[in-house]
Amino acid sequence: MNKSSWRQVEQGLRSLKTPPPLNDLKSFTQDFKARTTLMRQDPPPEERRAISFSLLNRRYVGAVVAILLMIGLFILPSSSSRVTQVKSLQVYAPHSGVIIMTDEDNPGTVVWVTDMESNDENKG
Amino acid sequence: MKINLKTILILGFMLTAGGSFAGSILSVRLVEASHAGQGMGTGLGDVANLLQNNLPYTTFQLLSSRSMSLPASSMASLSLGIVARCSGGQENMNVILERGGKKIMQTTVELRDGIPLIIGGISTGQGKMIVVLLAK
Repeated sequence: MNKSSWRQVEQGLRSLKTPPPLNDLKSFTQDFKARTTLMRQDPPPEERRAISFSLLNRRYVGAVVAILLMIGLFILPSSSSRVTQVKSLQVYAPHSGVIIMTDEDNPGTVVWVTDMESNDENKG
Repeated sequence: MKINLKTILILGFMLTAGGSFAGSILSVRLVEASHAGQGMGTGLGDVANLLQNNLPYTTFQLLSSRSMSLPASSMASLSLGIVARCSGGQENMNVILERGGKKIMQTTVELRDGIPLIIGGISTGQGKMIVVLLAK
């Protein structure tokens, strides 16, 4: 640790020049503007990018995902995935054809076998 | 409350996957469709529009109704010698229809909650017989 004498301290203080006092408003304003031009008012580019990405993560991504889920839950299922799917069908009784209908307005699936003849037909 | 992307995705998956195949009861109804009159019989209100808008008959009468728990593993003896044997969960349910002890039809379906499946075309004296399956 350097120790300096009191004389050296006095000399050092004298050597420091304090700025001249600002006498009027015009000079004060000029000095203020000059100082502001020396200082960055906005954060550096890296910092801005980090802030915007953070906001994107926390707020906007969640909102976008929520909207997509709503679309998936209420719009897409109303078309094809909301009806009963017939995966396989075998008709053992004599028949002429099979029609599978899907009604989206009144949700449901109709499997209709045409001209089906079962053994007990005459008993009914 | 902290809600992150993973939480939202899990909730969405639970809603979409669990909401469609979460039924506990399978109802099996036998309906007769014919031109012998007009209107819809009692016990068919939930499928009335589906029947009337898709099938060319003027009257629908409920002949019998049965229910079983899901996943299904039992048979429902309906009227006129019709038996419905159901097995499996809603996502892959096997349905066998028999008449007079003989298998007449077999199908595998993905049965969603509240969405009826109508299997029809079995001839009767006056019209056609229809089996309505509905998971709730």
